Amino acid sequence: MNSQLIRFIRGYVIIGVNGPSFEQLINRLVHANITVWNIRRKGNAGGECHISLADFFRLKRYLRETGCRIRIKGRFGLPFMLDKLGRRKSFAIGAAAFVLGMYMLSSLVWSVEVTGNEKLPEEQIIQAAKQQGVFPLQWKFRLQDQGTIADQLARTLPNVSWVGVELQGTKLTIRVVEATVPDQRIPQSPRHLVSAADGVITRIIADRGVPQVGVNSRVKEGDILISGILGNEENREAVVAEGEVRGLVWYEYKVQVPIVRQHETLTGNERKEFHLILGNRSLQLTGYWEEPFANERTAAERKQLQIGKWSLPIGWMVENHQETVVQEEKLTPGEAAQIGVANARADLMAKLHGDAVIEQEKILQASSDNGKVILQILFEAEIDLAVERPILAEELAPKKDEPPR
Amino acid sequence: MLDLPQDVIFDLPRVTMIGNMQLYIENHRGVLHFDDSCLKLALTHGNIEIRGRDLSIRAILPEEVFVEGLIDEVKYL
Repeated sequence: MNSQLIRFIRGYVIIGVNGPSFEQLINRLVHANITVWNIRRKGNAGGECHISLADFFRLKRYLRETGCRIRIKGRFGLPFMLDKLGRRKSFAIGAAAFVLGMYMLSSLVWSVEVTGNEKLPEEQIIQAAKQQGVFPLQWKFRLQDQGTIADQLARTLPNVSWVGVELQGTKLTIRVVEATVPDQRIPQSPRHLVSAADGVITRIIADRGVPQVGVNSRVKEGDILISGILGNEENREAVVAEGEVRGLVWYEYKVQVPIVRQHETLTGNERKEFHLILGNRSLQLTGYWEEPFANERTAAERKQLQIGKWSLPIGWMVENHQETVVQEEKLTPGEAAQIGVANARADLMAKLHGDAVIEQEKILQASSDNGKVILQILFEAEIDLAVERPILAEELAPKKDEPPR
Repeated sequence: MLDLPQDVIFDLPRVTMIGNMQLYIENHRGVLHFDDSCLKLALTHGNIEIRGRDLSIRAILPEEVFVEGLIDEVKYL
């Protein structure tokens, strides 16, 4: 196999030998280290054999010595093919141009891809890469070393902790790992924490600032709970007061609850209408001859035909009409009061924030009048009392004339 | 005698035959006659004759021959 390939590359010829002493010639050639193969006898005075192209030119001497004549019967191998190619100029040029074209096209960067960026816009990275000479249709050999490009990009792009550049064939991938930037602290001006409502303090923890009230002390709305002014009369500093203050606050509610309550119930009767939808029109197909209900609840279920993610302008809709009956229910005063308290509580919880806790609720007064129950309810809730208030310039000014409190 | 093969000691030909299609002869001393039914090779002592049909010498080296064809007989003369 391998020797055959070598023979092909070096080229060989088939020669026909004419002469009385064919055996003699072969013996001479063998002794002269000229390789011949596939020797075959043709007729009485002659034969043919294969001989390598290089050895062919050494034949002459032995032919003369043995008195043989030769005729070339076939030429094989690369040297002859190249010779043929040399004669077909335009074909050779075309083949060379093709190889060269393939090589050139494959030595271009065809696409630049960016992955891993979240906050950084892709355009900015591509722009920065362009500065480093990385852009589509750039020659690969004009690119700098990938490590250098990555280094330069990491230096020019803001807030990246690592940049990797990878060239795979004609695709260049820029991998970016963004640095996690800590959230910036919003600069705050010095402030007090003051009370949001009248109440009694249940808990006060000052992270920064001077607490002005203690647990169980009564405060009014606007009273300073944690002061943002540190120090004594001479040396003082305004800081951002921080801390947690919780307190009990009372709310009074007056609610009215009707004794008769109306509610809808389904009778179980229903009818369905089938609609065909074309564009934004609908065509009712079924349910024409059915009596509509006096009271009904309608629910429509709409289906749109889809191909992949595109929805077609064709669909159908099923409208379900359910008959309802309004029922009246008379409440006992106790039930009415319960409903009233529940309503008031829900209203209060919506008004207060999530961390408010309703500690107690008490019906102060309940009276019925004109088919309604009128309730007066007192809620005791523990809420976050602290509200920020900026420190005024006057507060910082040294108090000279003010009489001590 | 030292367990050496006979062909090495006495300069004898080593003949390897694969069926009746292929034949290697080592230690020959040149071609005496060749046509497609008969190949006669010189040996150190005497000759060897191969008879058959469509004989061809696939390869030949100073001391080796590789013959292909339909071999009928191998004869020492």
